[in-house]
This record gives sequence, C-alpha cells and structure tokens, in this order.
Amino acid sequence: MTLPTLTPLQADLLGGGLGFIFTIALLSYLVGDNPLYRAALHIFIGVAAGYAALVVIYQVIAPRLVSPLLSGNLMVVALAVVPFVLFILLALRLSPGTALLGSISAAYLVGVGAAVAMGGALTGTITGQVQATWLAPGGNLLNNVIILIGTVTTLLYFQFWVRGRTVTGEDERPALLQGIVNVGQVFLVVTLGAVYGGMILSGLAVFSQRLLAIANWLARVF
Amino acid sequence: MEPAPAVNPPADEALPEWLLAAEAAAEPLPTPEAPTERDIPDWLSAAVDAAPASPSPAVLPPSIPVQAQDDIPDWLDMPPTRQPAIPAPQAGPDDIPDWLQGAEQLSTPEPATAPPPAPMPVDAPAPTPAEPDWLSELDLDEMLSAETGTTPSTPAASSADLFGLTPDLFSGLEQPTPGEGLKGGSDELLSELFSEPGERGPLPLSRDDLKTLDGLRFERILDGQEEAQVAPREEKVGALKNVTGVIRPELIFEGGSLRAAGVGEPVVVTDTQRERIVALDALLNAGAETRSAVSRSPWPVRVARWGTAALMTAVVAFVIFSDTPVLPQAGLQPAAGQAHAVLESVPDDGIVLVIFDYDPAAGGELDPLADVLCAHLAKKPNLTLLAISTRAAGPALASRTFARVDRPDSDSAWWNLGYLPGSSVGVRSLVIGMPGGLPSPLARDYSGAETGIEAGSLRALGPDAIVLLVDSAQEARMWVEQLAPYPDVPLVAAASAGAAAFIAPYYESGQIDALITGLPGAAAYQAVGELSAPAGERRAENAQAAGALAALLVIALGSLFYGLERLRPRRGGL
Repeated sequence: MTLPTLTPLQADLLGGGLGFIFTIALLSYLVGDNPLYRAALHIFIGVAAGYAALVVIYQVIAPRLVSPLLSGNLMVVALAVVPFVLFILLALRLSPGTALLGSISAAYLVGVGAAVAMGGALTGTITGQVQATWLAPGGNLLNNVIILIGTVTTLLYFQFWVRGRTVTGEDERPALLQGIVNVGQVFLVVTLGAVYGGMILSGLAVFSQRLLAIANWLARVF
Repeated sequence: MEPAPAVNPPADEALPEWLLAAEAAAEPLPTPEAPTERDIPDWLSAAVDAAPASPSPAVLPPSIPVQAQDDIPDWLDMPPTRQPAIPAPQAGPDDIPDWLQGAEQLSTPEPATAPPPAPMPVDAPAPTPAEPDWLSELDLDEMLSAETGTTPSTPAASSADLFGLTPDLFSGLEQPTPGEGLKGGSDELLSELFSEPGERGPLPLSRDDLKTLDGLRFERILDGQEEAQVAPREEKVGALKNVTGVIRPELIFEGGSLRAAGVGEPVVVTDTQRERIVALDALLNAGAETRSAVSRSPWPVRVARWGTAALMTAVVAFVIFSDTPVLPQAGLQPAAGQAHAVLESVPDDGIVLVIFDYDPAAGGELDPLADVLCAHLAKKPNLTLLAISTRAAGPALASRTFARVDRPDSDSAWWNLGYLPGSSVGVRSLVIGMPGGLPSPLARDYSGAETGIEAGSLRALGPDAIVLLVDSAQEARMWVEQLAPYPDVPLVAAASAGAAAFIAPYYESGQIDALITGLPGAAAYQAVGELSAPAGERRAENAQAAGALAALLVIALGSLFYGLERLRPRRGGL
C-alpha cells in the first residue's frame, strides 16, 4: 500500500487548513473549557510525546548506548556499561520492591546535576554579575550607581529581620531598613512590569504570526 | 463460686452457733425509735406527707442479722426475729462475700472470745427484724406504684426499692427459680433480692453492690435471651453427629429483643436543630455530587476577558488583513547592529554553532530571528554551521529553518546535530567532551550521517561564534554559565521578548556580546544586514505593534477602573 503523494501546494493547503482548525480550537478556550479545545490539546500532547520518544530512541539510546555496547571495543563497551547499569537501576524504581536500588542512579544524577549547576552558577552568574554590579561596561557612572542601588535594595527586600511587632500584629522593621526595602520594592515592581510587558509582546508576536499564516492560507485557497 | 444450692426453709433450732454467739456477745439493740424529721430523706418526707397512714404488712427480716452499731442507721437498726427468712446459702468462710465478712467481724467485738467459725448449717434460719413504727405507718406499695406507674405483684415487692437506690433495678425481673445460679460471685445477693417478700430483710447493700447487681441484671437478661432465642442444634459433623443438645448453643445477643419502651423522653427537635439537620443533609448530599474543579468566573470578569480578547483580535486582524503600516520604520534595536557585527566578523570558512532552544509554540516570534540570522550566515562561503538543541523539538525547528533559508553557496556545510540530552550536564559534556571512545555529539548529525568533525568537544572545535536562540531565561543562563570559562567565543543571543528582561543582565555584564529580541529585533537585524525578509513579515511586525497599543489601552483603562473601585470604599469610610 502506497500513500498518495501530495503536491507542495496540496500539502500547503492541507497543513494550513489543519493549522486554521487547531487555531480556532485552541482559541475557543476563551469561552471556557470545551471538547474542541480538549481534543486539540490532547492531539498536541500526543504528537509531542510521540515525537520526543522517537528522538530519544534514535538520537540517544541507539547512538549513545546500543552502538557502543555493540562496537566490540572493550574500552567502549566498558564505558557504555556504566550508563547501562545506571539505566537498569533507574528502571527498577518502577517496582516498589526494587525502588531502593534505583536510588543509586537517582543519587548519581542529582549529585552530578547539582555539581555542574553550582559550578556554572558560581563562575557564570555570581562572579560575572557581582563584578558587573560595580564595574558596568560603558563607564557610565550614573548607570553603575543605579545598578548598585537596585541590586542592594532588592536583595535587602528579601531579608525578614524584624525588631518586633506592632500593636496590630504586623512585623516592624527598623526605619532605615524599611526605607531601603521600599526602594528595593520599586525596583522589583519595575522589573516585574518589564517581564510582564515582554510576555505580552511575545504573545502578540505569536498571535500575529498565526493570523498571518491564516491570512496567507485563505489567500491561497480563495 | 458455685451456684447456691436449693435449700429448705431453716428451722429455729438450726441457727448456727456462731450466730447465736454473736447475738449473745452483741449489746442489746435499743428499741428503734421513729425517725425524726431530720433523719428522713426529702423524698421520703414528701411521701410520708402524701401517703395515708396505714400500717404496712411487710416485715423486713434481715438476712444478715448483725451490723456495727455505728454503721446502721436508726431506722434500719431493728432486732432480728426468728421468722423464717430466705434460704441461707451454704457457704464456708471463704465463700462469704466481702461485705458479709465485714459484718461478721463487726459483730464480734472480742475475737479472742468469739467461737471458732463453724460450718454454716444449710437450714440456718435468718432472724427477722421488727418493723419500725415509722415504717409501718407508710403505705409503701401504694407510694411506689404511684411513683413507677406499676402495680406491685406483692405488697412487699417494692420494699427493696424503699431505699431509693435502685428504683428500676429489679423491675421486670422474674423470680429466680431454685438452683438457677448467676455468674460471678453475687448469688447470695440475688438470692436475698429475689426472696419472698416476707422473708426479705433490710438490704445491707452499698451503692457499689447495687451497681454490681445492675450489671448482673443485664447478664441475666442475656441468659434469658439465650434460652429463648437460641434453640439447641443438631450436630452435623464429627463424633457428635446427629446428637442434639450436647454442645451449648452459642450465645447470641439480639439487641432487638431488648425493649426500652417508655424509658426515653420523646425526641424534641428545635427549629435551630432542624435547620442544622437540613444544612448537614444538604452538605452531605452536595459532597457526593460531581463538581467541576474549575469554578466559573463571575460575569463581569468573563465580560472583561471576552472584551479584551475581542479587541485584541480585531486590532491585530485588521492590521494583518489590511496591511496597515503602524510603525514608521523598522529597526529600533541598537543591539541588532552589534549582533550583525559579531556574525559579520566570522570568517567565510569559519564555524558557527546555532542553538535552537525554543519550542514550536514560540516559533512565531523566534522563527523570524532564526531566519534572518541564518540568512546572514548563508552569505558566508564555506561556512560550517552546526545546529544543536537541548529540547526534543529543537532538531525539527532547525531543519525547518534550514529549509526556509536560501543558501546560494552550496559548498557550505550545515549540520543539524540534533538533540543534546542532559540539560546542563549535556551542555557541559559538549563543552569539555566525552570520555575517550564514546561518540562525540559533534561526530554525527541527527540522521546518523557523519559530519567529518574530528574534534570531540566544543573547546577543541573552537567555533568562531555561537548563536543562542531561546525563549526561556533558564536555557540562556545555562548556556552562558557553561560557556563562561571560554569567553573568547562570541555569543549572540536572540531571545523572545518575554525572556529578554532576565537575559539583559548578562548582556549588560558583557557575558553576551549581542542581544536581539522578538519581531522588532528580527526586523532591525534585517534592516541592518539588508537581508530579504519573508513575505508578510512586515505585516506581522505592524500587527504586533498595533496589538501592543491596544494592550496598553486596556491596561490603562483597567488600572483606572480598579483604582476608582479601590478609592470608593475609602471615601465612604471618611
């Protein structure tokens, strides 16, 4: 049995039509949860999961585990046995009786992941950002001062020392610290506002592209 | 303790020696006097006033004739009589109840002179005390029948209730048959209690004893049920097959046969209780119903949501379909020039690593960025472009970008290396390389074709530039952190507008050489590089700008509306 071959135009029209239908289905969530939205959501999740499984099989397991094990090179096989054993132990977590053995693999993954993340954060973020706080590129003194004030006051915003409680039961900070915290709160609000604005722009960009694709499809169809 | 055997009525001459000695040793009891008003309990005083003064024929013979003089109240302190009393149980010294032993000791003030305990004769007659005058004047039967609503079967049947301690203890109980013993050690007590009216003496019982009897009453009721409800069964199996009545039937407690009619008061349900019952019933019924986990928003919120969505859709759709120019010109991002300069400095035969770390959902914003950046690199002859991703969908996005970009120089090698697992660990392994012998991520592309790259790590490869396409700040931070030890490699970041705010600090610190964001960034880069844009790209940029203006208007109106709403109660409170 051979599948019918589609011309590029037919494939474009078919793909555009499916895209139009799925766009309408997903936007129908505005009126509430409905079967059309759920059907589109489940299709997307299923397709994404299936695609990810194939990618893992063909790009991870086959070239990085099976091929080394079958290579015949003793050194390569020995190196490939280690992740294979860890993989088997991790799979044992599926059974409650053997789940304890899977902790070895989990501990290895967590330990290595934490070490790599901590090392990267130390050299890539903490050192670089602390250095840039008082030595911002460009040599603009005003910019450096703003960055320094913003960093210090924002960090102090997340400390919760309290001298006591007021008669109404609220935590009372020292007056100087409260003033610093208020400045940090302003920086936080500005930052979160910028993030929120960026997210709106991202959504608008995606929405514009989707409407543009529908417009192009409609132009080809009619 | 063995059950009390059946005994004959005792004869006068059969009194035990110890009892006779006790009587002789005891001081002569004073003649009982009529109790004063102070000695009679309140309830009895009322009964005396209410009852007609008629002598009661009942005589209260004491089954235990001796008591300590100090422990016996005046109205109970009566001399024993020789009238036949209840059959005295045959009991040795060890079988005598504790309370009886105490009475015996009290009756012998000089233990040295007291006769040795002799076996108690079976037919020992119980002395009968004389009835006091005040008691004989009471019509107890009539009084008790009026109190309990029952008619006593015998005139003295309620004399035991005279003490007011067990008004309902013995009601409804049948007289025990001779030889019918009870469990436990209270057979003597029950024999005393179930004796004939004329044979009954004052009850030397404390409240604890009566409580014990109260429990035995239920025990007897259960025994009666056992006999009434459970019939002997014929054995079906074993050595006793076809034999009936050998094995005692199992005791079965059937609560339904216990009748408590008239004991409790009629149930009175107040209005408040009825309301609570109705509310509880409704609550329990509502808990069993299926409810949606998502609560329905109030209609003003829904109207605001639908209105906002309709406005944004109308504005964007109008610009898209009408091709209305909103922005006067493209390219407002100065970082686009920096990014262009970085990629322009790459040699024609250089190596560039392009990282596709975004999802297809963000393709509407990041695909134009990928297109313009790759289009610029496509101008480089003999350039080696390596695409990689830490997301599963990344290879598909890279392939689609490769397909969209027109490459005039066919000698350039563009490799889609595919998926790099392990997140930060995978990036680290790409940077520093895999252990010897294991395949390098740079060796083959996603389809398995060999790339011809001999370097096993990014450090060994030494790319001329790295282009980072991300829609999340986490991925950007991960790449920046792992590439931090090699600051000589230029890094260009193309991010979505939502992630730009968190990536900007790395750009400000110099860890990222150039940062372009969103559709404006793509348009700016396109303008700087004089690159050809896909059809309709300009319309999408205008539509995004128009949508941003509409969103600004909605935010302003919403802030004004909710700000006034907050001010309203404050004014009212002043």
